[in-house]
Amino acid sequence: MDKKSYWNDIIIAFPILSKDEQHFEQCDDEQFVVIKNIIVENKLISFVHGMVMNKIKQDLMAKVNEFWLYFMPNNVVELSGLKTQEQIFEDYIGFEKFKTAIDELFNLAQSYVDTINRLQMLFENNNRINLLKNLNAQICALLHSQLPSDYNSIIYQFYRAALKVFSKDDIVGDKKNTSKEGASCCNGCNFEIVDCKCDYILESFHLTNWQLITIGILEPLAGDVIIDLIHQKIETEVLEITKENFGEHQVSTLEKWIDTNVYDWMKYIYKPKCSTTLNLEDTNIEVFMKKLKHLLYESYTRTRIDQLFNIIIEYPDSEPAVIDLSFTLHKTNLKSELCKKLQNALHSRLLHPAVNTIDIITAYTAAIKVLRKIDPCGALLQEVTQPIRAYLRSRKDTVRCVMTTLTEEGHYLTDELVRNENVLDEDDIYEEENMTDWTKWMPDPVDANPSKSSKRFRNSDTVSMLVDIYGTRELFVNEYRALLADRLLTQFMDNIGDEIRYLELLKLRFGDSLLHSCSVMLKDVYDSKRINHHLYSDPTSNLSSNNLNNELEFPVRAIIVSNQFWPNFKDNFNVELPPVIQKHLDNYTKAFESFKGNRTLNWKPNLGIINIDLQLRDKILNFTVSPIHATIIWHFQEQEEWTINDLSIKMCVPATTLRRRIGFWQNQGLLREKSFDKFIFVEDGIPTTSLSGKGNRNSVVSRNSEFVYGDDDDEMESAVASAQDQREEELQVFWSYIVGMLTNLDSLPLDRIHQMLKMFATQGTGVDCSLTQLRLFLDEKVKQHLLIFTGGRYKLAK
Amino acid sequence: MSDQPESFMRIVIKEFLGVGNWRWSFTNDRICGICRVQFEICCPNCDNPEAQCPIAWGRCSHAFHLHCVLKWLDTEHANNKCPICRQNWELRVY
Amino acid sequence: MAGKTPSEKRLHKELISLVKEPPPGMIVDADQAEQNLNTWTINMQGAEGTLYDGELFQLQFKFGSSYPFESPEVTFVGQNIPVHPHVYSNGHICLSILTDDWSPALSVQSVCLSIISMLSSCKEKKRPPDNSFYVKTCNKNPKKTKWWYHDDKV
Repeated sequence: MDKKSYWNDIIIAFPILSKDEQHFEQCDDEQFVVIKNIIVENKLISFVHGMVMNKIKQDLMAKVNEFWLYFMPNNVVELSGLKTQEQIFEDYIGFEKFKTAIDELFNLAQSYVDTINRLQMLFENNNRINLLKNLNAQICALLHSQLPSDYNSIIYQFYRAALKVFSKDDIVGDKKNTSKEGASCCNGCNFEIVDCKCDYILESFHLTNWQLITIGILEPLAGDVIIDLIHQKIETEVLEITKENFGEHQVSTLEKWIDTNVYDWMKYIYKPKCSTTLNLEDTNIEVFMKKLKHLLYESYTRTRIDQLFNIIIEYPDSEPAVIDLSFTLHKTNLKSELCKKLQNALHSRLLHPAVNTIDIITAYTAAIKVLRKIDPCGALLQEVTQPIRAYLRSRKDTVRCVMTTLTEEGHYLTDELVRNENVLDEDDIYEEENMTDWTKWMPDPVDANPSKSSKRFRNSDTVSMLVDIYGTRELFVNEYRALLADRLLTQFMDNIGDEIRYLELLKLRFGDSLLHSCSVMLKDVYDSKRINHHLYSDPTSNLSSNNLNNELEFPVRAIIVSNQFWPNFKDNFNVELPPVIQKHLDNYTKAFESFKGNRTLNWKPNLGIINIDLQLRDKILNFTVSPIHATIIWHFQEQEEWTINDLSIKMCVPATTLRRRIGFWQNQGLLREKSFDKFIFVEDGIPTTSLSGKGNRNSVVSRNSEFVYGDDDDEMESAVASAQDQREEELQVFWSYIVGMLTNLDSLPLDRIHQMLKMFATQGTGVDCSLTQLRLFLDEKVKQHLLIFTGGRYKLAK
Repeated sequence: MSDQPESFMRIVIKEFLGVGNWRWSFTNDRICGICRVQFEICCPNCDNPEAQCPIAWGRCSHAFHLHCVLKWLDTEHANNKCPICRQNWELRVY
Repeated sequence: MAGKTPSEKRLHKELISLVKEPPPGMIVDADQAEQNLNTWTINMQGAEGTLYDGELFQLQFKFGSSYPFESPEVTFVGQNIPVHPHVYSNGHICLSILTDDWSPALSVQSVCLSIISMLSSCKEKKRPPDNSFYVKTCNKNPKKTKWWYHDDKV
């Protein structure tokens, strides 16, 4: 028998092969067994199998086009351009389309099941061949072979619509529900509540997913979409829940949300209740959930990284967010992103001229605390804050601000200063630790920058970090000394108890020897008070009350300083004070000499303060001003008009300084520049209030007992040179050493010069000059043609 | 404005709070010829700047930290001579 | 400054002023002195227009812990010991301020200047008459020698 004679039988068994399959009924099982035997005996199995599968494939090919037609976007409108309401409606249409498409595809696939089952029977016991699976693969392959470009949009719509219904009771949904109380639309499907389609959607959704799983194309067709939608969902959820809210722990809430709501949803999609076939999806879901958790952490971390600057600014109120972030950051790999983004934020929001130094320092200390919490090993801290330190170094008032912060009453850094009193010898401790505890040695984390980080730095506390802005504690101590000198000399404090207390605190931190001169300064002030008291109470003193009978007499009190221990005083010109004042000072000096034996006093007439009454025709004005200010106005008492030049000669004060100080009296409306450089006293002048932003300086009320120390610029001029000035001075001293060295040794390499200078550095105030600083300094001299740099050696230019 | 009557002003000084530094009188030398430290700072064997480290003047008009010159006079080579002029050292009392 | 003894404090000051304002013809090896403040080497040039013009000498200073109340131990060292009636070939110098006439007001600088002036006033380059005997019998430390000072007018 040839194949042809069996054809009729084959067609009876597999009516799909007939030209007009509709006319043939599926034969019954008995008949099929007979035909099957014929096929098997004649070794026609593979022939029949080939024919049937080929036919099915052709059928499917014709249908696949129809299937994909459902996926054509219904209109050209970009979905992203739609408003929420419209999008929801579009989603619903998409939902219907997808549902129908899958339904049809499913029915089509089902229509082959009987045929496939019979075909399977031809292979009898051959377990290796699973034709149903082959069919599914075939369907999947065919679908993909004609994949339209934007097939995803309908799938998105389908799952989005369902997800919306599904998550209407979520955390976020809750909020919206309460805010939209009484709305007539259902929160899930967006239809009128009376017409709610939620149940229908869930039911259809359920069925469609089951169909997809049965055909085996859920994952290939919709897997990516589902994941993506869940990503989006997680992201919006994280964004929503973390929005500018740093004061609550949220990660656990989010984890719970993933574990319940998202898990339910996954189960709903991947494990339809009626399905009996796919138990293995259980473990898949578990794996999937782990991925989603990771996604959640990543999403949370990213969001917080974007907000990190604000979190730092709001610290410690933002502590919960910080703790959450430190938890999630360790589960992700986003440290370098955090570093980069935070640095960017710092640059654009903190490190520019519009921000006050003190605010930068506050942010810096907050950043230290936050970053240390997030990343206890300190590598991150080191890396991120490096630009802040670099920037702060470029600001002139940094050291001063830090010192002010450290000694400010009630500031938390003051507390820290007290608390961490044992860090004094941290370097030594560190060394020792290396020697004795080597078994506990831990390598630096891999992301620590080896070139910049020292363990000491990363482990040091906030105060040390502040001090480290400049690298040396000596510089800070010097600045503190300048600050203290300024305060002592300008405020004539009655109570230096606080200053003594702060000094003791600083000593705990920096050690006695560095702060020795500060101790002497405070002792000077304390002793001065005693001396003042003694000179006025001792009956043998020429200042005692028996001798104060002249009407002009006024009390003189003095701060007597031990010159060597105070910072250099600025403006060392000797103001020529009015004779009456000078006479009183001489009196005081005499009294001092007779009290102190072999000592005498050198007055610094440009320092100190004078309290004067200006008696005008109809009123008395009281001022507390510097001796220079007082002397200026004093001279107008004797002569109504003065030129700057005459006054400058009379007072021995440089004209520029004089002009600045005269400005104060101009602002008070008491002096007027009549013509260029010529000033006249005006009794009823009106204070020029507009000049200065400091309203109270010029208001009539505060003209009483006004304290003006320095010039009339915005800042009070300090009595002593700032650490910066002194540093320049010291470099100048270095320069004279260098010239001395080079004169004798002709030429020297940089490190040799540095070594020699190091020895002098310990001599004076203890300021060190790093190799880099020295090179910059020398290169500057080379630019000025004072030095020649050749063959790696510096020599003097001749 | 110039034809207005002369203004009248009188200044009364209520108080002067001055600043000055102390130094040893009777000497123009800034530093002690023995330890080379400023007189206003104590000698290297002392810690406190004041009081406990006084200055000693000789009749020869040379001045040293008292501690320094006493230490010198205590050595076998000193022969009671001033370190600077080698005249006999006699403490001058003011 | 903390931790320095009074003698080290003073030596430190002297070293700085020597480097900063070196007297003509004198260069202190500051590196070495910095390493060990108690031993200094000073390179000295023979003064122009004298018998030692163009010659280079090395002076070594050793300071005891009671400097400046005790004089330093000063000797010529190195290849070139000046030939001079007061300088022995082992480098010992016969100079009264180094022993009996020492005063704490003297300094490294003033000692060096004295030695330069001693060399400069020399009219004939020769060793001390007792050189060979002295060199054989003397203590290593010249301060242990009971000097019978040569006439300064030599």
